[in-house]
Amino acid sequence: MKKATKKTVNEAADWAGANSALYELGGLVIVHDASGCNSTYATHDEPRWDQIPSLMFISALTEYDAILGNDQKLIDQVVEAAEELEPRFIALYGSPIATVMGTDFIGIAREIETITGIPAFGLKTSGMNSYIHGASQAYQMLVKRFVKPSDHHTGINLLGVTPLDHYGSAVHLRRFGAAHGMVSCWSMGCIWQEITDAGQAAVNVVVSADGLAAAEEMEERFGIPYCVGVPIGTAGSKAMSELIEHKKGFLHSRKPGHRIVLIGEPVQMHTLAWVLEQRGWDSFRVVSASEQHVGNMVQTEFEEEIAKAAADAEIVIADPLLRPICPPQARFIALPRVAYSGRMYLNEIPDLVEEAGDAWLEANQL
Amino acid sequence: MIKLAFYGKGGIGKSTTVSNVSAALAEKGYTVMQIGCDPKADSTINLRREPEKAAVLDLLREKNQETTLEEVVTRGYRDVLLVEAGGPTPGLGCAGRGIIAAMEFLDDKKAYEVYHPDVVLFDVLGDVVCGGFAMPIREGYADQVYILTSGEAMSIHAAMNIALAVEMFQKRGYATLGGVIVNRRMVNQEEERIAKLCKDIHSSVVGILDFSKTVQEADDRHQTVIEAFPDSYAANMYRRLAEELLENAHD
Repeated sequence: MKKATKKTVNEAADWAGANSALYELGGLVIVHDASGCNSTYATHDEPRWDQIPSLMFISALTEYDAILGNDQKLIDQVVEAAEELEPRFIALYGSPIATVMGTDFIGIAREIETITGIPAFGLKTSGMNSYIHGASQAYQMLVKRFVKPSDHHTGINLLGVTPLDHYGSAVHLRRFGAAHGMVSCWSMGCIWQEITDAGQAAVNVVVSADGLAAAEEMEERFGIPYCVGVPIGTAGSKAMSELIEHKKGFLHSRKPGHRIVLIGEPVQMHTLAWVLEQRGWDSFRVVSASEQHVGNMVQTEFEEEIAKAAADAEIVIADPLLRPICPPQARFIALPRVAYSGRMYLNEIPDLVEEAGDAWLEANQL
Repeated sequence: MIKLAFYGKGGIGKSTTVSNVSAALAEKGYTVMQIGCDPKADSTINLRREPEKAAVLDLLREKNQETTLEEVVTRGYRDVLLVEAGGPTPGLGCAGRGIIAAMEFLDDKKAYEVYHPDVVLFDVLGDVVCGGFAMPIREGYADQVYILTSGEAMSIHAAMNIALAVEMFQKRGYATLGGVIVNRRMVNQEEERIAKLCKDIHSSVVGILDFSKTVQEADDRHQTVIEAFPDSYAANMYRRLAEELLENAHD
């Protein structure tokens, strides 16, 4: 029972991460799963669901489809929908059921692309990994399939701006990006041309682990370097501007310990630790469920292990739903995330960028 | 890198043939990786040297993602790299899904980049009975499929099924049919039956393996004929087949 979740909840799953990354891009997205499971995404993980239309569907997989491997039904339905909706691209990926069936989304996507002539791709999601795993794959695939190379490079791409991690900061992040000649923002508030033009940027700015794989892919394909961090507070903003100028670097604290434990998305938590260090604090521990290690962090999704990592903390900064497993003697500072508590604390998710971040830090006596 | 998958009715001699082809290619200086895709984990018996290593799925069951490549890849006769996918507890789980998990494990751990084999041979259980057993012919795995058959009716029937599956998956960019390997059983009208099969599946015979007691004797010693009887007619038979497969792959 060590891995059981008794007092807390699970983070958004990989397929929700992929959905979040692709939501505003005009593609037809099919999650191969039993009908009804999309409500988890729509009601918990996607605050844009009732604000911005998107072509996201669940395939309504049945027991006999699963047993008999009825891929043709899925293919026919996707082709029919694509002919009607004329999406920019088609993305297919799976849930735990499709994973157990071993559905080959890459092969099916190839078949659909041949029939429809619309770019189609499959992702390897299983519903058993973190949202970062799914969003990373989606962004990396966009680079592989749609970003055009360029001979001239100027400005920046912001990589990893999804509501799952940056709901409160997204608008401000775009403003920060615009001040640095932003070419694209992946992918809240993003128009399609931003994605295809992203190869024109001089540097990629990875603001969450969701964007790391895409940054690495763009570095390999187009020679675009990247830096990692979030412009949290005026100090973080200034530091990020310097990293952008140097076209490299990663904002993180060099004072490890266990006095201040930060639980959440690793790029954001490392940056927050760096900002706190500038403000005179020390002894930081970052805890994250992200399978992609970013800097020095405790990687775990399990309640007991998170509780153990936070056991000696004086201050814990985490989503409010983690409060029950944090030590009672520690000062708990709530930093809600859509990826963890969904819409429960939506209005309390702070904007951490530039001066707004300073205000949040001061309000929390940090 | 050349990647080939071998299918055919159970008991037709796939593992014996694939092991001998591995040995013949290794003898010529190629780095060969043989991957047994059968829950029984018995594909590589005739090539093994080191103490038996656990199959991929046995280790995944115990250690999950902490399993390392070194724990599942062993070196056999002339350094052939040996891997057994293994399978679930008999009577439980899903063997086909197990093959997918084992193949994905090798992929995730970058087995082909780490060991740089010139040739990878997938020895697959019997027929393409479910999605899992089609895994070795998915994009990124084998490039060509070879079907082993005799002139026996059930073997021909299985060969037809395999060829149909391969044809059906062409739309998904899966492996193409490389040809038919005949493992003679000296049944009536064997040649005619094979010829009809080839016509029906639009393929051709790439190699003929005569029935040989020498192969059986080598099997009894848990060796390939290439190792046990290197100067035998049977050993040369497999060497010719290996050359034919290489030529076919390069075409």
